[in-house]
Amino acid sequence: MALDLFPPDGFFNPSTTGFAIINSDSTKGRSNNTPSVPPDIIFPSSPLPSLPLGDLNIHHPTADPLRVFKEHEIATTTPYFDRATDLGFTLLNTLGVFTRFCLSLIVRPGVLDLAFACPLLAPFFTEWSDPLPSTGSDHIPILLRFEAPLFRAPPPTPNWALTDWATLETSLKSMVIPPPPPLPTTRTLDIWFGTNLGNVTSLFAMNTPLNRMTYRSKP
Amino acid sequence: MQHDQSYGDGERASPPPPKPFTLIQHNCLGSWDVFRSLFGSFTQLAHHPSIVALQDPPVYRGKLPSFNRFTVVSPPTNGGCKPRVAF
Repeated sequence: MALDLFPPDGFFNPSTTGFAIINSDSTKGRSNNTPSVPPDIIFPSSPLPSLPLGDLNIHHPTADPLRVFKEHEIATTTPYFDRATDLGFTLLNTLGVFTRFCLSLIVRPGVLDLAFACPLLAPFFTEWSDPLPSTGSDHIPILLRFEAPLFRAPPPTPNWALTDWATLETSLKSMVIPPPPPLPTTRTLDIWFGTNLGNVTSLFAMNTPLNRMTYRSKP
Repeated sequence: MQHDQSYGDGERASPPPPKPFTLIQHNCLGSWDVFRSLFGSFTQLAHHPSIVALQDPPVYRGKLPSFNRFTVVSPPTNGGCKPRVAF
């Protein structure tokens, strides 16, 4: 099943007006062990950027490099990875991290839940992880994260090695922090804390130069 | 150390970057318990995912599950055929 999405501002890039998430649940055929969803359905040659994912039920060394594979596993699953490679798809999984642990313990864990990104979406991919607890399924929940690239350098950070500690110490000693409100509410306590934290922080900022972006930056 | 925004940031203020797009994929084994457990665990995330891609979602009387603040998207369940996937 494909879900076509058209975010108003594009997908982190105005030129990427829309993209498709292709969600598949492939089962093994009873006769020949061939997965039920063929490669051309999972990896369509569509002009719309796509993000194929799901329980593809295929074992392949690309996703699980340390597994010992049977010949028929390689034979049936290689067409999937060949097509993905031909169309420029990138596997997003962390290689070798199992995504399925059979509850009966008679089957080896495997990397069956896969996710791919086409060349237009891959630059925005930042994370593949399994931060959630077990749900009772024999598959793990997987989180994929995409983020906008940095269009500007991050702001400069303080250079603590050059802090004028003598001046700062004197200033901090002379600073008087008023007591908190006698009957604080969430708002008044927040204001009191924020104001005083700001005063302390600005003292540090006044006595600490900033790091240069790079050694080539002007001081 | 978390970066302090008060350090040299004011002059170069620009629109905030777009929010991250997060997606969860999970095979529910057709189980309501798994479905509820999955969506209940989203409280452990800093932000709810933008989209949840389910494989083998639970179905009851031809209806797919729903959860607070999420809208279910799936193929029609005509002919008694259970959908294999849903968003």
